[in-house]
Parts: sequence; structure tokens; C-alpha cells
Amino acid sequence: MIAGERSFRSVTSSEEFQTLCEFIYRRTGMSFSEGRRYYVERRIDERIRATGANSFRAYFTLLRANTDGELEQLINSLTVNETYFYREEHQFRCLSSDLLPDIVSRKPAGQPVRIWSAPCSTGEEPYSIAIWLLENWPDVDAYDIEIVASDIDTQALSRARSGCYGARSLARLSSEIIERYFEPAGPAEYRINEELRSSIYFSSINLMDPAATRTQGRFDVIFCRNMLIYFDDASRRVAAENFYDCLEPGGYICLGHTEAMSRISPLFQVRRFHDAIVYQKPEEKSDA
Amino acid sequence: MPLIRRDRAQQPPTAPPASLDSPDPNQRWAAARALAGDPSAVEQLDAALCRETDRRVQEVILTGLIKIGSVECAEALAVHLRSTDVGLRSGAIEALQAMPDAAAAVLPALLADPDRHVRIRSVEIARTVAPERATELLSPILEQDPDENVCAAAIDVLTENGTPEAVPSLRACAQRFSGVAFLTFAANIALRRFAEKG
Repeated sequence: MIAGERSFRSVTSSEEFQTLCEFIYRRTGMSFSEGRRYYVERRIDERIRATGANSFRAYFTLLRANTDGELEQLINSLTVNETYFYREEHQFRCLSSDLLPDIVSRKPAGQPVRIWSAPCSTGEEPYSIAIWLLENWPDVDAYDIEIVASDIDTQALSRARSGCYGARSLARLSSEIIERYFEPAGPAEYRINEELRSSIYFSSINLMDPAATRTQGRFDVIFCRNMLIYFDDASRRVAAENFYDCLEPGGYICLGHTEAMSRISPLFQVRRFHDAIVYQKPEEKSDA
Repeated sequence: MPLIRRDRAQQPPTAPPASLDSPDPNQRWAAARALAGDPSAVEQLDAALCRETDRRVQEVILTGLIKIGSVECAEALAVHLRSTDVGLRSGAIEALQAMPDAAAAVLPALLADPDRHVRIRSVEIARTVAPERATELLSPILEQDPDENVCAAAIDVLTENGTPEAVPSLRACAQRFSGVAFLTFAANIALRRFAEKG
């Protein structure tokens, strides 16, 4: 061990770990099993050091009281924000070739197309959606398009708003696209241009909170990729119902390639398109 | 650029409180969502589930009961294991699987039900119960249940979610149904799995 370096140590007993996980679950819906104990404990240890709490018990008191926004800090450290531009590009192809033509065929004139990226992490997904549509949807100039991007992690949101990315995030973009939508921001770093950055609305949202998700209004398409894998069955169902409430009838939800709505909830219809399998909220019928 | 931005979150339209008795399924959906997770609402949700015919509303009531997750909820769901509505029956099984601790409390009675179909469905619920508890619940089935399909279901669940303590019961089951090829085959696979795990 290097002098002065404090080694990582197991901070919790099994009982404490359980209590902590239940607390996190109740607040966020994120579920951590014993198998992810090392991952969680490393982050708890970091937060104990950062807050100056001298024990897990002292830290947990801070957390429960949410002293200095500690709950948000812990959530920020537990969320995974590794992503890149044009990730799972086939879904964007599906968006421009199948989903949007279907949506606008049913949409009253003058209504905007609304797309929600949730969770948006550090912004690669909502910016990718915007760039993809500007580049690939032939009808892009015929409609107003509103893109809303949300995440529970406020640090990730802050990075998303700033729009700065390293070369690794941009690896799947052509040099022409980089030139068109980014500006150099330092060695091997690029920033989304001002016009594009200012066209996306970023908001901090806990997707498990129905009252909060309702404030976002109704969307035509929701991208919710690689989030539900962190939830247990009950939380997945609640999230699916929140998304259902936030979708227009006939609207679509796109999940990550390892996720299947049919294993979570029967509320949506599976739609198989050439480029992707997505889920559709059925058209509304009222018995009233 | 065709992209537009609205900076303020929209306020959802204020609607009168929804009722679980409304003739409009959208209203019943909203009412069930509002009650989700409220421990005092078990009775209301239970009654609503018993009369609900809209699959979508059934689903949201089930989520409400899962969120409460009490033994009382598990008892309310257990009734639907004998429902003739396949969607509701499957939904009840999935809901019980999502609340394993509460489900474990109602499983002994369900596993002793005179209807073998109910017993088979109940065995499936044990798939998400803690392995030690699943073994305790299903080992007596292997030793005593007269129905080979119930025992086959129990072997299947224990192979995935059992502990080595199930081994004597698996052997007893294979012996009881020694003339039933598929059952002895399944029991032997389970025994091999436990032997491999050490």
C-alpha cells in the first residue's frame, strides 16, 4: 500500500448493507443484490470519506436526513453513465423510417413531435436523436420536434447540458457530422454547438415518481435504454406504468437490446420493424 | 432548425379524483395507480381486482398490491390462482413471484390445495422464494404429493432454486415414481446438478 493511501474496506455488515439497499430501493427503485455488494460498498466508502462521516452509521444518518443533498450525491455515484453517440443506431433508423412516419400520419396538424430520452445520462442519447433526425428524417423540416432529456443523476445532467465529449464518445460519428454539430473544445475534446445544445430541454426526474413524470407531458416516442435492468420486478412494473401514462395513444417505447417489455408488463404491444423491435401503447378506447 | 424547446415542465391537467367503480377503465386505471403502495388500500384493490375485466386495469391493480407487498396482499392474490381468466391467473402468479417473502407465507396452504392445477401454479411461485425456504416448501411435495405433474414442477423449480437439502426428497420422489420415465429423468438431472455444485 502506498503511504497515505487508505485502502478500500468493507464498510457495512450484512444487516447494514440490507438496510442501505432497502433505503436506496425505496427512494429510487434501484435494486442491488448481495452480488453487487462490492460495487455499492466502494461508493459508500467514497461518500463516507467525502462527507467526513467516521462510520457507516454516522453516514447513514446523514443520508436519511439528506444533509447537504447527500442522497443526490450517493445516487450520482451509484448510477452508470457509460454511453456514446449513435449507440444502438438501428433504433434510430427505426425511428426515422417507421415510427415517426406512423406517428405523424395520425397527428393533428401543428402538433409537435415529442421525444423523451430517459434516462439521458450525460446527453449522448438525446443529442444523437436530434442529429439523427436532422440528418436522416426526410420530413424533419415539416414538423416541430421537441426533445426532452431526463435523468436522476444531476451531475450527469450537468455534463449533458455542457455538451462536451471526448473522442471515445464520438467514435461512431463521421467527421462530417462532427464538423457540422460540434466545435473543438480542447485536445481530443468536442462540444455540441450552441444551437443544438439549447434546443434540448434537460430535467432532473425520478422515473419511479408518477407525479414527477406526469409533469413532462405526453410523448410520441420514449427511449428508455439500459435502465430497467437495474430495477427489480416491482419497480420495472411501476416504471412501465409511468411510461404508459406519459405516452400518447399509439406512441412507442424503445428499450435496450437486453430488455423486453413483454417480460415486464403486458400493457404494450410488441411491434417488429425491419430495424428494431419496439413497444407500442395501444390506441385509446374509452368505455365511458 | 426544426427542434423546439419548452423550458417549463407542463402541469398535468387537474382531474377529479378517479374511482375504482367508474364505468370508464381510464378512471379505474387512475384510481388504482393512486392507491398503489397504500397499505390501507388492500381491501379496495382486492375487491376491484375481483370484479375487474379490463386486462390493463387488472395489471395496474396487481402492481398496486405488489407495491404494498404484505401477506394480506398475497392472500388476496392467491384466490386468483383458480381463476378461469388466464390473464388474471398468470398476472396473480407473477405478482406473487414479485413479493417472495409474503408469498412464502401463503404457499403452505396453496401447496396443499386439493386442486392439482392450483398446486402446480403454486410450485411455480416458489421459483422466486429464497432457496432455503423453497427447499423447505417443496421437499414435502416430492415425498408426498400423489400427482406426477406437481412433482415434476417441483423438481424443475428445485433444480434452479433449491439447496442440497432437497437431495433425499429428490431420491424419494424418483423411487415413488420409478415407472414414470420423464420424472426419474428430471430427478436425476436435479441430483446431478446438486452433485456438481458439491
